[in-house]
Amino acid sequence: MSDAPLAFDGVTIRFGGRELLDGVTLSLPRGSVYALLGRNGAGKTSLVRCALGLRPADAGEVRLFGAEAVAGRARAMARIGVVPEEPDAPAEMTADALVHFCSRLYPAWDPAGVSNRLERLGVPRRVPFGRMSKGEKGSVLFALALGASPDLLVLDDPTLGLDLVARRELYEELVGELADRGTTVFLTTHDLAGIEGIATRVGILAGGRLVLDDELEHLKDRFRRITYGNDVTESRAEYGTELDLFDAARVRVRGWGVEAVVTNFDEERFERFRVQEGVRGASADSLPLEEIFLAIAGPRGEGRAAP
Amino acid sequence: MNRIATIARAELSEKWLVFPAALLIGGFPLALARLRPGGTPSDVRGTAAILLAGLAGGALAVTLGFWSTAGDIASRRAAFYLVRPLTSFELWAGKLAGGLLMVFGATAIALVPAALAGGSFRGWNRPPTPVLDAILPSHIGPAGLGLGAAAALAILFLVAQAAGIAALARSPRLFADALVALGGAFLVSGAVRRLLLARADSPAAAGLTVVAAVLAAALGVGCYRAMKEGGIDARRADRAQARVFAAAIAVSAAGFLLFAAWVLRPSPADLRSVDWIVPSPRGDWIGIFGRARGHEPAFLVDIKTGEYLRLGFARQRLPVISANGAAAAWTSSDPGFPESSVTPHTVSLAGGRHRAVAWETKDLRADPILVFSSDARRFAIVAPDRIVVWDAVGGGMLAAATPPRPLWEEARGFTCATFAGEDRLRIYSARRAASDPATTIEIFELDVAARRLRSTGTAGPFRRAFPILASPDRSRILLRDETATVHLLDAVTGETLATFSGGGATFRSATFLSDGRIGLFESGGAVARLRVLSPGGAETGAFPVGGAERAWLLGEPRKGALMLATASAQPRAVLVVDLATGHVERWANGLRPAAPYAATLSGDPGALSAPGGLETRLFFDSRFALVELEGPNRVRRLFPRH
Repeated sequence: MSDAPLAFDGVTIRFGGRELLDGVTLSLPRGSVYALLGRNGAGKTSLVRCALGLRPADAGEVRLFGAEAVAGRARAMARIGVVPEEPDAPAEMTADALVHFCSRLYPAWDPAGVSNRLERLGVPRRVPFGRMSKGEKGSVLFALALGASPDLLVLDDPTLGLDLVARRELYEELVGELADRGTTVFLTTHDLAGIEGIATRVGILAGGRLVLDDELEHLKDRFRRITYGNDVTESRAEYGTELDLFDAARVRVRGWGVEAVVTNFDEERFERFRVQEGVRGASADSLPLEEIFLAIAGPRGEGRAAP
Repeated sequence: MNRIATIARAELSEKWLVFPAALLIGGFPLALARLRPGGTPSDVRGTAAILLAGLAGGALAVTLGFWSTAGDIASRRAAFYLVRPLTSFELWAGKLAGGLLMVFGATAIALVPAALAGGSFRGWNRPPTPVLDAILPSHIGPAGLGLGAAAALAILFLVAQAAGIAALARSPRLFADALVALGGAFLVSGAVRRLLLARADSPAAAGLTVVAAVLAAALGVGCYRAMKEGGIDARRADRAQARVFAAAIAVSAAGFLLFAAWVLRPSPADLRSVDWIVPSPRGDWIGIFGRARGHEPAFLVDIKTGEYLRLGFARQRLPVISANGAAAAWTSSDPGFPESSVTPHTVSLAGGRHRAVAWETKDLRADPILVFSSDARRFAIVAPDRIVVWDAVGGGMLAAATPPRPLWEEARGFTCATFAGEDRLRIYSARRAASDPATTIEIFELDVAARRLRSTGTAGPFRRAFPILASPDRSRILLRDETATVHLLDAVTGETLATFSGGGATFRSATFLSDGRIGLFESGGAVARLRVLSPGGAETGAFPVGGAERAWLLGEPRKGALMLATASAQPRAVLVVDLATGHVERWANGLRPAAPYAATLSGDPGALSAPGGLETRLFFDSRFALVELEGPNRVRRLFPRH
């Protein structure tokens, strides 16, 4: 755990007596891109604040580069770049002033890299931050975050409110950074499609718990959508015990048959499934991350199993 | 340090508009001077510039203090800084430094136009208002005033910062926090009042300065803790600072209360100087008053055993001790209310327990004369408008009377009273006209049993009568006037029995001996002698006393001897004259009597010291320490102890 740039161990966060998160434990492998997903209010931003030492956990422990996050915040921040959910830079400072300000704080500041990035992102340099567009603000903060040559990049919903072009630019920069320096990334986002090609590991918060924490590739292997014609039951509005071979996250009975999202797919099990009596024309399809997320955090179908 | 400076610089670059705004404000005094509202244009420019700069600086301190840190925390903009390699202290200190630089800079800039245009700031070397005049030192000077203003602005900034955090947090515990603050203020103000009533002004000021320093430090620490623990959570920040403030208030209030209690409960051992003492005619108790723990408490102390009673703070009138040394009396009043009634108190000095008794009097405005009978069984107060006698043992009032006219008026003579036996209280009221130094003494006698006050005679006029002394049997009185004449009078009628004057003597001092004889010191030219007279005034002996030009008779250090303290010879000498042989022995040099002759001016003229009594034993040395003269050249230091 101490080797991980960021690790949570049994973290509980309460708000006004209500338990927002309970016993979250996860660890970011060095060089990974960890996407933390969850619905609005799931506790992603609160967990990010804990990760950055901006607030203590009510229970459990958060460690940044092996040190307790709150106590070691100032030291750790020299190795961390942060893009917050809400642009929070002082409104009267221009991009140049912000760059100058940050350059005096970070030991490994990369002035040329920041300048080039701002140039590429088309950020006006002399306009006060408060008067920039949301995309420009995000770009400035992203450039500042990368300017510190960070070992860990924390992005809290960085694409919130950005248009498609801005989002694409941001991801391109992120990919470039990853390719150049192998930075570890911890990000929260609702843009599942955007990060699908970048993330190496995914966590999903739902119901106050970390209900999923897995490598994205493995996740995609074990989450599949199975569709089949249902002759198992007399009524087409039902399905029988044929799905008991799988853990089904969501099941929907359609007019033509049954559609189920299963979380423990493997070929051998599927072979056994498709030769069951009454199962007709079964097929298994890979799922995009968005579908996986919906299956876990979205509204339940008529499913009987949970992941 | 670099990071603090970086934050401060960011603050300045973010809010740089305050400087041109301050310059704009600084231009108003120039326009005002053109309107000539009174005074020279130079004075108008200077005064208006200082007032406007002060107002602008104050407003900026409040605004920046309120919003800069608190606003960042409440709006979570503080996260921008907290996700940088900055400690909470660096962030807080940088914000504070930046804010204060803006406040000080803007205030100074607002003065620039007036200064360039020849505004006069000379009148501001001294604080301009009576209020500031009372608070600030008398020679504060422009630099001191500038520093004071800077300190005030800094405090204002910190107060606004704390208020901003509390307000923006919308804490549900704000009311409880306010109650804690009010409770602390209530406790401290109560203790301050007690100190001021005891005239412990300096300790009160010193204690309040420490409390203010603690609270000012708490303001800083509280805001820092708010930043450190709160970060981007205003409620958490508010709790953090509230904890610091509550601790600071509790510590400073408790500390101040303890300090006040310590100041107000000194013992005689704490005396650093002695202002006066009242010796007991018999025994070893003295009334003593001096400086201790920053104020002037009074005590009754037994100098032999060290036992003592604290009388509170000093009163103008001294405590009195009965002739037999068995009881003492003093008065108290609420010093917070100068017009409040005076309450007499007595205490028995005999035995182990000394419980003070307060005697009920209504509307007793002037400090009364307190007098005991010789055996301390009767206790009386003599006020200008009434005379009351109590049974000091049983507690009941025995007699009360109203004089035909006020017994004394301010600065017009004096009054003294003495018991002749248990049931007769004799009152000597010496009066003089406003423009005439001639003093007439009217004698009253209160028959306690009959509860009747009557005038029994008059004496005089005398040229400024000095203290009256009554003979041990209370049948005669002695008084001295400023013409170096000593008069022996009938104690009841005031009839002159003998007069001692002339003969070339320019100074005389007289006293009764314990056997009723009279001791009379007189000097003139190169001659100084002690004369001993019979109770009727006939001379029975005369003894030359060196070259002393002026000496006071202190009493009998032992039966058959008289002690004199020379006032003019250098060094001062304490001499003892053997009345049988005339032998003069020098007991000490450089001492002055601690029980002043003048102490009997309004006291009990009959309460003369017994042979070997304290009046012949207590002296002040050259450093004004109270010492006991135990025998020839044997001196024991009493107070201050060190």
